[in-house]
Amino acid sequence: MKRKLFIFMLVGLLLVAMTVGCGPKAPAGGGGMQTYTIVGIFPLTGVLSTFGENSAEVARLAAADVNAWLEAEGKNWRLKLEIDDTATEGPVGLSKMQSWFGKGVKFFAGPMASGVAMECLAFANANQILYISPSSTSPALAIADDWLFRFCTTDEVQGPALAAAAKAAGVEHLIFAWRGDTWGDGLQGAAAKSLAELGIAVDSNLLRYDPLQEAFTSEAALLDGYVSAAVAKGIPLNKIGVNVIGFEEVVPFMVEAAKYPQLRNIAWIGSDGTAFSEALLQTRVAAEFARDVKFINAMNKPAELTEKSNFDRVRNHIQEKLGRETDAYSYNTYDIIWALAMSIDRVGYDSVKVKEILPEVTKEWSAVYGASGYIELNEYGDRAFADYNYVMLDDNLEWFIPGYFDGLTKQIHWETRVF
Amino acid sequence: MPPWMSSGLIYASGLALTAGSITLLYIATRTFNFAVASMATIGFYTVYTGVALYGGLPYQYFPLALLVGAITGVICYYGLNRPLLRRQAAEITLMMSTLGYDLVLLSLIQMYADFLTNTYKLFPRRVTMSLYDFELFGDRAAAFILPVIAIGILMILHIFLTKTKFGVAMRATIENPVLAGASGINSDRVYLVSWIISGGMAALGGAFMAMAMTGTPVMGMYTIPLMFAGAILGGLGSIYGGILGGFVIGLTEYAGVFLLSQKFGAWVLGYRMGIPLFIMAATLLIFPRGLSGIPLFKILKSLAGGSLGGEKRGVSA
Repeated sequence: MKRKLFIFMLVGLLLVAMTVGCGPKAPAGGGGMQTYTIVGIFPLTGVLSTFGENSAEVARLAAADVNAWLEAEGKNWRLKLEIDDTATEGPVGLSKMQSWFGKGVKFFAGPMASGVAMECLAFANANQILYISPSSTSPALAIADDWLFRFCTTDEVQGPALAAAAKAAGVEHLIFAWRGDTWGDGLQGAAAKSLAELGIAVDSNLLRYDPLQEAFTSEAALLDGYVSAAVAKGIPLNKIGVNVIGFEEVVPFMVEAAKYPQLRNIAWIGSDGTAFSEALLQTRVAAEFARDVKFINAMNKPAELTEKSNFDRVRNHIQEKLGRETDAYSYNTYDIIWALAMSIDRVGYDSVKVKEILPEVTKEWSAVYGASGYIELNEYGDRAFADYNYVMLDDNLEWFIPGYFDGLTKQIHWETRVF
Repeated sequence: MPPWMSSGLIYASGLALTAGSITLLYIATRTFNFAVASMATIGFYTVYTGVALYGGLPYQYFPLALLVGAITGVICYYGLNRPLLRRQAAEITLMMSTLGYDLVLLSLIQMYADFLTNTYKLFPRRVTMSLYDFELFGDRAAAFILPVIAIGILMILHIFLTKTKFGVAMRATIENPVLAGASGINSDRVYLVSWIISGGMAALGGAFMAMAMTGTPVMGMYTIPLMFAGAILGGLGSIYGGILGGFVIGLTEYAGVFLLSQKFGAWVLGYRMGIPLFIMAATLLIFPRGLSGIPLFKILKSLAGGSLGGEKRGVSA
């Protein structure tokens, strides 16, 4: 009996020892080779799934490139990339981060949505977990000295770009319809502020919808009612606009809106959440509606690219792998993996030390190789400045860029006149 | 027909089938089937795969969805439910086993969505199935066809349970498994058939619901509270009650959110799921046995001012 107990205890101890040894620094092979893990937490399901798929694929490409570089340089470590799904939901994203942290992971690429990034913040701050979002733009997350970095600008820059687009479209009275989460609320607030500065009236009816919404019959009917009420007040249809701030759920919204004739005669402004949306292109009714109403979106304009930039590499890879044009944020994802890898290469798998050198390493690397161009981070750890491309659908239902908004001068530069 | 009503009818028809599926299994095997969520999603993906790869209308792939759903039911029965039932597992164990099965199915659905994306360059993670529909009487055909199919299934089920030998045996097993066993009825076959019907109904329900809402890999997960609400509203003791409960829950979700938001404003939109759940709670407070416990005949009699009863008395006399 005692002998059996002893054997059980021995096996138990062995199992515990093996489990403890399964951390991110577990040797991958002989010769003292180390493996360091970065986890990409992206929305592979939910309303950002197109963006999530793109970023996951780009992160894999970046990890492969990093490992090729490490091998070529004769380094004694390799990068292990794990991909996990946040389902575009805060609690899911947080549970994934907690689970990976439990396995010893301290570096994360993503999440993409501000709502998810917000959910992870307290846990990351408390445990010194460094995570970099390629696309979280909420001004609410511009916090100095936290553990969240963002390789995109905040909506304090996008808000004026949307307001300028509304002005250019001749809008004098604007109705907001937006997803009620951290990102949606932040961008709606920033856009409303900028609209006021441009003298555009904001409708007192605010259409803030549930982010988990999958059916939009009531929302479209309400919007139609708000437009009718504005017309009844004497505002002509062509001076009315709607700024719909959402992700891919805007597609079923548009399918429903297409059933109301007068909604085809107002201006439709979008955001970076719908720019280059593959979901929109895949749904013909919504795509044709978006084309007919000149649905205009704003999207981070990649900074000026060098000859060695990885922009084309990322773009071609997604076209080959997924058969579509990738979104602007996926270029940031490529740069995130590289920035983390270069920092780890310098100071090891230590999040405190990596946090200290990350802004400098990012600047140096992106200045030459950045897929999204040069990245300078501000005091909040967010991309400091950027211009915004406008993105619309052409007659062939393909996305095109008619011009851009200069973030510094607050002026639109049109390449193709659309209004 | 206003858009909210046509969407509501389509959605409610789907929810009715899923709620009926939950109720049938609960009555037959004491199992609250959480896997109904993924079974519904599988039904949607079966139909989507058909229309996306081979063309045609969604309706022609409904029998296939029914079949695939039935197969997932059979797998669950033989893999989980049967061994547990044989060991006299508690209801909670039976329920949790279906939750595990649901998670396995969910993972398979995600893998299948990736397969469709990578192999066929499709966009299966957000699908608007209504675009594959055709127009009938100036409206979406699904608004007319799907309620008719749902009622048709209810009638077939009724005939099966009351007019066929196996259906009667099934009811006998549901009523009293020990007694039925003693009378020579093979309860194992009854349970298997329950899983087949239930799986088929769940999958078909999911395919219906996707004609009104966006089809995603997690659509079943989002709607499962309402599927159970429908079953509970129906009283959990009657398949017909379950189907009716699902229909009421689905329709009140669409009608309630539309009418209340028109009256009180957009803030109501945030309580979309709360409206049918409130109706369920209120109904259960008044009729604790759910819709199947409502003395419908008595109510009709009192509404008719006793004339119905008078006629009945006259006939019997």
